[in-house]
Amino acid sequence: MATIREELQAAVKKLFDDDKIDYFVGYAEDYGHTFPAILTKDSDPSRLTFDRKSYDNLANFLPELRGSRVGLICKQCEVRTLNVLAAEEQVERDKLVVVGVPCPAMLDPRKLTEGAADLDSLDESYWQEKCRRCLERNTPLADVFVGERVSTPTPAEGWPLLEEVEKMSAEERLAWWRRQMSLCIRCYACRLACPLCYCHQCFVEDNKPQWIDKSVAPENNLHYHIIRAVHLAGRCIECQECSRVCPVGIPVDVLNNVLSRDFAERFGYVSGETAETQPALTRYERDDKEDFIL
Amino acid sequence: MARVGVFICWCGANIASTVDMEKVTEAAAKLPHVVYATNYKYMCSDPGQKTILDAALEHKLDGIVVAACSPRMHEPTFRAVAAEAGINPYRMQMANIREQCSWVHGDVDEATAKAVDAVRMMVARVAQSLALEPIKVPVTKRALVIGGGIAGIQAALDVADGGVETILVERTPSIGGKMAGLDETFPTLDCSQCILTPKMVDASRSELIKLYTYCEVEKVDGAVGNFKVTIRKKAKYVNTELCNGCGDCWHKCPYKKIPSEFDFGVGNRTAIYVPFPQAVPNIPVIDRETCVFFKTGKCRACEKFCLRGAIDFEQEDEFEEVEVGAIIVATGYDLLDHTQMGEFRYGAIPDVITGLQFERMSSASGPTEGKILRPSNGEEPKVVVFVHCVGSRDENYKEYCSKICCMYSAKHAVILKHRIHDAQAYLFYIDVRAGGKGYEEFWKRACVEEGAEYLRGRVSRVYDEGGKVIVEGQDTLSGEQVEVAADLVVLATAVVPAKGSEELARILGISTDKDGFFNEAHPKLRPVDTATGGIFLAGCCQAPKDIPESVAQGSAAASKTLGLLSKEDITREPTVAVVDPLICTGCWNCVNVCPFGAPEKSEITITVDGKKVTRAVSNINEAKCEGCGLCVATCPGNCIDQRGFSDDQVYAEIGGYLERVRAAKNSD
Amino acid sequence: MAAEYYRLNKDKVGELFERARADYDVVAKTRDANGNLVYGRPATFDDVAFVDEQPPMSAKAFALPQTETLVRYEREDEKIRAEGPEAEARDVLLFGVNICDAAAFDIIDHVFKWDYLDDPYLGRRADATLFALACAAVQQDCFCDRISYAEDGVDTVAYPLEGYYLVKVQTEKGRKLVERYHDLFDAEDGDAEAAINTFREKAGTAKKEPLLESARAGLEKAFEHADWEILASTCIGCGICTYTCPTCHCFDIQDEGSAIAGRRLRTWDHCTGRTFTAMPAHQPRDRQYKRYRQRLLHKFWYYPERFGPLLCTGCGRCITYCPVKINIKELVEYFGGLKDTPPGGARHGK
Repeated sequence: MATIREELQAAVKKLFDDDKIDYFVGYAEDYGHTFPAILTKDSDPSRLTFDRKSYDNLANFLPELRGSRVGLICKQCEVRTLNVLAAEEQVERDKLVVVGVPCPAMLDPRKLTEGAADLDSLDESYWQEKCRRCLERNTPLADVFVGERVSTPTPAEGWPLLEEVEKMSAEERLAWWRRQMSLCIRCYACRLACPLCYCHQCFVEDNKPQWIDKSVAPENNLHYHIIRAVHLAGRCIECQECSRVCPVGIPVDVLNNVLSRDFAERFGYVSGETAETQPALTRYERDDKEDFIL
Repeated sequence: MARVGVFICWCGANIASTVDMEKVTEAAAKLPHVVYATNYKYMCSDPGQKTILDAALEHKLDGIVVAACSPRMHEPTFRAVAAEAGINPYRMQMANIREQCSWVHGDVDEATAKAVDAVRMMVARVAQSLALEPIKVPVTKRALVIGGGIAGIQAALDVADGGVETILVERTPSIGGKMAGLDETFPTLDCSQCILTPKMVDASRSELIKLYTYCEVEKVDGAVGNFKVTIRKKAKYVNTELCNGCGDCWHKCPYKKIPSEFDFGVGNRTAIYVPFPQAVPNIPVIDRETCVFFKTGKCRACEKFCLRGAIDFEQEDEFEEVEVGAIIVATGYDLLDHTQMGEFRYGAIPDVITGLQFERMSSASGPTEGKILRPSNGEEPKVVVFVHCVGSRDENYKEYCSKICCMYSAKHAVILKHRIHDAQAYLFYIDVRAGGKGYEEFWKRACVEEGAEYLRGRVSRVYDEGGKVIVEGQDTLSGEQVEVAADLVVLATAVVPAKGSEELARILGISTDKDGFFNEAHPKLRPVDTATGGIFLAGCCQAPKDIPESVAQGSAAASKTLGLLSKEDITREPTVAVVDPLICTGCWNCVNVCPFGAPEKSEITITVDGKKVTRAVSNINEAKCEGCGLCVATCPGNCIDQRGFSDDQVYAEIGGYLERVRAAKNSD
Repeated sequence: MAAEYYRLNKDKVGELFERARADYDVVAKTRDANGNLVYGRPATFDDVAFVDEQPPMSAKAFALPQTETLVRYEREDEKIRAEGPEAEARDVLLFGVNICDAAAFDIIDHVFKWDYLDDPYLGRRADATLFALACAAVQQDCFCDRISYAEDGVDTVAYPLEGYYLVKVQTEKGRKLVERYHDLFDAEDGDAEAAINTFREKAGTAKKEPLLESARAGLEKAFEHADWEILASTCIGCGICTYTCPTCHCFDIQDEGSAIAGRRLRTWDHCTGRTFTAMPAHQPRDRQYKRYRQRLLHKFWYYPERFGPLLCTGCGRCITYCPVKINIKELVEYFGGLKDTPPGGARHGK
């Protein structure tokens, strides 16, 4: 039986041979890492893979390739992202070939120790948090599906770290955030790894007026993180890439989770849940709940 | 650096008694950008304005801050002074040190410090203010009136009289509105139809008025001066070109027991019908809901008997787009739905009716030919109870006063006495509101000359017993419980906005108050305008009104419309939103939130890496933008700024305030 | 000066740290709020992580802080007062720093004393003594063995041998440190260099043929290579590689405040960011691959062309912490013509 790797490589080769796509965006394995790779017809697909370290949300590379026909590996994370991007008219679905995969749950690189054993066998304690909450392990509505379908365990509820933070007193919580913010180096990787942060110019880059001081200090850093989270209110699809890429390990997605939970509770709204999901904040319905507006 | 002059007004003692003029002047003179600062007793007076003019020339000012009253009061004054001095009016800012400072503070030191803050903020803002030029938009010289009641008819007649083509849209088969169904009118008791029908005929005969009956406004695009309105022409199933209104069809229609909307159910109509004999146009429509042919596919009686072949069962709703420069909304009223209110047993006891049903009965051309009868048995009522304020002035339903009920209840009592001489009217009231020419005299006449019995108090219970309707209530003047065994009970039910008003408000982009009436732009000074340019209000859609008031407002709206349409082009405030296309991502949040349809999908071609790339971007149509700022606040990429309220200006203003915080921090 | 060699008993390291704190502002590896390794100022040796493991952030911030005030100004009426920050008085001891971090200072000194003497940087640099700890094993993605950067500017290097640290003193500042606490150090009488070589062979940090230098000739011809576009387009443009890099030193000068008071500061900036060369009307590096290419070529071509050394010590942080795991070493080898296969197999093909 062909491995998913072989099936994937064959599928990509066929897409190129049939002239269905100009680019393929997937994961390659090389020099000890699995990383996103953009392939053309003339590339060598033999390093393409899909494994438990296929972390990146590949939808993040679509703006760069806009206008071209793109094949894209889509996990549930990418599917939800595409749903939001489509609602915001940021992707041309007809130019996209969705390559579906059975997602084996991604591992949390921070939980992996050097030379960990067989990655395929690592249990839930090594998973990324988002994978415990996954709604569907097999890519829905895939144009091409590679690999054997897997079953999706019942999604876990709640955001453990958020709940932990919320248990703190106001003073403790402020102190906790201050400590986290003092670590931030404002590399903006959290923003740039986010597939929904696609503005051509971010508010942190504005200088007339300059909304936020460029100096790196806890209060400025917090200012940045809060506005980043608010700009994702009702949009964040909880892929947790922002936290994964943070070089100093700040769990920045906690801020996003607060808002995701509010949207779930207030509006019964789950961002990017279906292809029909429309943006929550720019829609107005006469029967929208107002009970939380003071 | 800018060259800003600061002019501080005493407003007599209004400001000067609480704010230290010299200190504010001194502080202003030291601010960055400021080259001149002075104060004067009345800056808005001629010598005050001259002070500004002279200083502007002498000190080569390029910006002005007037620290005085609210910009609502004198912004136009000082903008004109700025223009006269050769300074762009949008580089004049007012610092409000009266309403927001001297009037609300007592402590001189604190008020002075606050006035300095206000001046500092506005100086910072002016330094960031760009020169703006007004936007000119050509005007479409055609008006639309929505609603063919008396207010709408009057408005249409007056606009047409001014030589402007007018489209009058009415959703029922005939114009005339509620007034067409009334009997005699207070306080003169002249016949409603006799005074209305000539106006209806005038409207239909006018070459400048196009009647669109049985039509509804479906969609409105554009803005003041240039609206694009889509009208739904509901299928009448009658060819209006062929029909001559002979009436054969409705006489032959076998289905005759349909409660007539026009008669509020007091009378019946057929499935093909004109609502009343004097209808304009006198052309019937087929009601698809009740027509047997549409239900069963059999009948076609009307078609068979129509000698002109005017019946057309194949008709479908049609849509027509018209362009107009102004819109008058005159959609009138309905009565509060009684199903909400159990206590009066309306609907449960047949002899409990509404005032409008009473009108139809007493109307000579109505279903009973002017006879007042008990619905239960068709006999003449001898004891009639009129209940005021049914649902009005009642915190459980509508808090407002419906305004017309006191007078029409008095009128009903008088009419009752005229038609049934031995009848006795009882009126339960809270108090009688008779403000209006001849109104007070009229209700006194009802009381004194016509013997109507006024009982001051609310009705507590209504029930039927032994063929009578028992009305229990309290007479608060005598303090006694009252019980009247009535033959007929007439409810003066609360006036509410016409059905569909909320939807129309959404289509037009105008607002409603908490009760659903359309909001005027200012309750006192702009009672006919809405906040949306080019849309005016007439009649009960704005608030309950009687006929003369509705007519007056119709004429007022017409006058506003003629004023607007008399110009070749209209000048719009340049404080509109503007998109930076280089950073717009085309997410269309602005398109989604704009109530005026101002952001439009557009494209920009740029060069990236040596290649031409076309991007979808938003573009604001200046002719439609009302400058509300919604898109500016919504745009996630901060690609939209608002001229005159730019981020730079607002940020500078806040920065100006924060200087005080910084100074306080440093002195700690 | 000629190198000197001493022995430092492993159980004396704590005492060295504690005593040095009296004379120096001591910077050492410790753990932050999330348990990550970081250069900080631990108060006791218990909080010191005297390990060879790399912290995510290099040690460069102690000579080039991420944000630094250059001048403060204040306007009073018509007068404007401006003053620079007061110089920090104390000597700094970087205690247990990785060699790749320590050696980076010599490389970037060139730019700070080139056409303009950068007093704040050079002042802190002059006041800093480096006490490096050699790695006993290679780090996750490091490739220091492939780059022949000079280490002789590192004041002292401690090699963890069996039972003791072999301390190699290479500068006067290093000698001063050892002299101050001479009672803790013993003379080394064996063949120290031989021991060091053996240690580095075993650790895998011994210099191999300095391949990356030899890539330069190829890189000089590779600016227009079609594959930049495909290989560097996964770069998301964040600042992780530059901010964690011990040799990246670009900064931006910014003003904060108002017309009345404020400060001028400098703060790290990164050439991989989209605003780096953005001008009001034009952005010469208008796509991400051009920005990534700039970073690579600056390190391996432009900087050595102007100043001599590569702008890289091979620490590997830019690979380890890169969100998309772009591998600078692999790309230098590929575009420098040392390797035929592109990383991940991606080729543009046009």
